[in-house]
Amino acid sequence: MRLSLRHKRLSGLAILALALGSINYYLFSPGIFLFKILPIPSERYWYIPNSFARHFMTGYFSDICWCTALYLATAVLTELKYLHLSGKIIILLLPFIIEALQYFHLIPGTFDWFDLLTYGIILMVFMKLFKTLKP
Amino acid sequence: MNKIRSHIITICVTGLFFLMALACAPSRPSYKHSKPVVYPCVHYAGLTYSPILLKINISANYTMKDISTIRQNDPSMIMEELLKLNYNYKLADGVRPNLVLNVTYTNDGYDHYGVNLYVDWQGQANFTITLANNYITGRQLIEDMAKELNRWVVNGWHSGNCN
Repeated sequence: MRLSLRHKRLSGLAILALALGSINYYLFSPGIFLFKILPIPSERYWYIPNSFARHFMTGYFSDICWCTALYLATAVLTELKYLHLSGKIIILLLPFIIEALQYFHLIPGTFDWFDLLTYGIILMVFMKLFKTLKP
Repeated sequence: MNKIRSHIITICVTGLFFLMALACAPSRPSYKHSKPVVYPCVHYAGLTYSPILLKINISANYTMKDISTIRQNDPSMIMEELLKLNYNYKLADGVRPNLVLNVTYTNDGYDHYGVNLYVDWQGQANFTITLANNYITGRQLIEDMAKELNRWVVNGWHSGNCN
């Protein structure tokens, strides 16, 4: 499989988004399961003085990065015609499904209405940017 | 063939990102089974000196969206409640504290709150106060925790097997 420059860039952006999300967790919320299973010391806890910035970075930034990476990957796979409609819909709804599972305490994590709103906004932005994502 | 490939890719992408979401969930402490150790009963008298210097550490057994703000605000609320009961308490600032209060807020998953308070007395003794997840307001929880803590500090406590 040979990727075009555009798809290489989009894939690179997805990886960058995931890396930024991980770094954000490492700096501001190191108590996650990932850092317990990886042999990475994560005792240091960085503090952001500004309340809004702190709330955004600890509560939403990594979620935004994760969702962006997912939708970028979906956009690439859709443009390469690797995904059928059903698969595309399942992947696009994954953030909402995970949030619903958290709401019903079926998986660990915190349900948050603002997460749903954020995912909705990101989905709309991606549908605007990538026409192939529209069902 | 294309459909099967699409299904496989869908499952892989969904699975991968689902695992990422799980990996970013807050970790829970793991408990290993071991035979309980029986320690002898030791009584500790109440603390009568003044001031009783406190250091307050705040944590939670669930994901708080903004624990930093809680860490900023709650120590002063705890001090406020303690000072209503006993004027001897003071936050340690630059000196070794007499009591280290490790406050862990708990949540039953339905927004009912409780607390597990582990108190260390100068590294020589400790005791734990637990309030069940029956609270809906933080203020009431802190008030009851302060009352319970003050009762133990004033009247003394015991450790080990005193049955």
